[in-house]
Amino acid sequence: MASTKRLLKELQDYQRDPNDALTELGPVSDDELMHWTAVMKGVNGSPYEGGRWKLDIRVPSNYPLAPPEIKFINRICHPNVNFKTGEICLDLLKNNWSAIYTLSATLTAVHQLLTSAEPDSPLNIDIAALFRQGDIVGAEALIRFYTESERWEGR
Amino acid sequence: MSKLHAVEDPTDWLNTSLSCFEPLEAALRCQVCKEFYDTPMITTCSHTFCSLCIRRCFNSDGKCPTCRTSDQADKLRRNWVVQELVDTFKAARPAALKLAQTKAGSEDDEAERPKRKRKLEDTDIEEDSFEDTRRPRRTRRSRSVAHGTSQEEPIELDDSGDGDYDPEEGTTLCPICKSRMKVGLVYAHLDLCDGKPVNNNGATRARTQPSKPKEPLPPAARLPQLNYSLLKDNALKKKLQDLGIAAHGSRALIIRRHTEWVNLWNSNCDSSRPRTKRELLRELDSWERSQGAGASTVPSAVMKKDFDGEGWAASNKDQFDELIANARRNRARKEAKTEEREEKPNEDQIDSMPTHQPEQAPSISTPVRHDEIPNPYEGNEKALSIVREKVDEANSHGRRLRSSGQPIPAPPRDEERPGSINEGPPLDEEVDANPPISSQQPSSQFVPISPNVDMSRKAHMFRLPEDPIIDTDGGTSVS
Repeated sequence: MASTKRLLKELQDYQRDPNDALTELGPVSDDELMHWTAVMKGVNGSPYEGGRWKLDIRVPSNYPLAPPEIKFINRICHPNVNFKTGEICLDLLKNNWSAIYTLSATLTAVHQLLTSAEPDSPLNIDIAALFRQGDIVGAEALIRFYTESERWEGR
Repeated sequence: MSKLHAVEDPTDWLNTSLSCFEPLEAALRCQVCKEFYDTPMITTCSHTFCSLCIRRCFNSDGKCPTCRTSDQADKLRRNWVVQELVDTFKAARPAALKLAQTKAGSEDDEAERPKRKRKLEDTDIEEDSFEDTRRPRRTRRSRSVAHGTSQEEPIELDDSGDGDYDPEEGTTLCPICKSRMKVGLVYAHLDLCDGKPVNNNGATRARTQPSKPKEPLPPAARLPQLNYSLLKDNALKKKLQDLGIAAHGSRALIIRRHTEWVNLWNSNCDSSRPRTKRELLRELDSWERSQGAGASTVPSAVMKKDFDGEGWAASNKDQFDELIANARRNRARKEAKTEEREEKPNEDQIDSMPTHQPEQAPSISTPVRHDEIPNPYEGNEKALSIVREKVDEANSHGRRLRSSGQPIPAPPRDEERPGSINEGPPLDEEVDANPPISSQQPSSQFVPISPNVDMSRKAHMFRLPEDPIIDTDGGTSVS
């Protein structure tokens, strides 16, 4: 119940004070408060510029003590995101979770991950390899290609 | 949406003339539960949380949620000042908020604009002109500063506006049940008073409060944390029974229940307004329903299962029925044709085959078998009603029935999406230029170690040296 109450507050908070990194955030339906979705914008000035990604957010029943599970639905080419499953490798979502983070704040962290990738602990080895070999041009071209071709258009 | 309006939130202030109260109220709320501090406790790292929240956090990872310093529940100390701040703010909040809103609202009427959509600048200007009439020596130049002055106004008016206030005695009347109580308590009391329409509840509550010391209150002694690994199952169950809480369920569940009870109990000991054991037990019960026996250790998986089953069956019921009806009608037509050509026994087989639920086959085939029923469609109609019953039964198992059709597309989409991804070309083919690396560094090596992507990017728990990568280009094998 504590989690429900808090999620309601977070929802209200987001609706009155939206997050710049997102175009939408909310539960999938009025009855399903533990399952949210979000649509994230790309970062201007980066290869991800103009992108739109749908995210699937599963909130555990002991939230906020445990982190939400966040996944990319449409594909994103990023060293720390699994290309096929959309799993995100971010310490914030695992060991370094803290109860004071809100869903909106967590998604901001995911948004920041777009521009501060960590090729040394990759989930997408191929793009990480390009980065590690210093082939920035190639890596960014690949990212741009997928950002454009996999853009989330659905509503 | 209607639920949202019941939720009190710092953002309530955002569109009023007192928007600067938003951070003030946010500061008076616990960062974990986002509620006003309830029995605020300060940690050794000087962060403040609700007693229950911080105890739960310490149980889950032993760190302060704000700064991640390791700390222990034993070292928590009460933070009385914060308690007082919260109590007084809560008491003043409704009146202040109402004032701030009506002020904005009355100006709206002048401007003939909908209430919620107004901008702050408008407020400032109109307020300014309002003040101009009152204090003529105020100059137009100060319009930009008016924002600051306008925020003072409601505070001044606040005391006079609150009719129930009785500052001399430090007590106030509940507007609903008219019982007298301390100012700090009225807010919490109002919550309960609202729930039940008549005075009784408030009155009894007001009576129970003085008599509280006589009740068997939980003694101030805090419960110690147990070292569960040292206790056998039976000893553990005995402990729970001694405490007066349920001792059923798996060992893991018992441990979680005990931990929760210790948290509830100890935070109650911290409280300046301790509750009775019965109230605590009720709270434990609601915990049990949301996170205890009801919820499994892998909540999200169960949630997903629940969601698909219930939501889909309930919301697609009409479509289901229609499809089934159509299928039966088609089948009946076909059978009517085959009936002309073939003999009855065959028809039985045809009829029993298409039914998706084998156990229903006999009941469907029986009416058709009788020759006195000329039209096989009638038989199918019966079968259809059976299927309808089944669907209803399945629906009645669902806890929630959806009225809106919205949730229907969501679950299938989630299921389809990853599937279609898997079919697409994998990235490996795109970056064929460097196959040695991808083959030599399987993802399984990285994934388990990987959750150390620190946002600060200062230090890495695991960093590959540059050299092996260069080596792999050369073709030498590095594992």
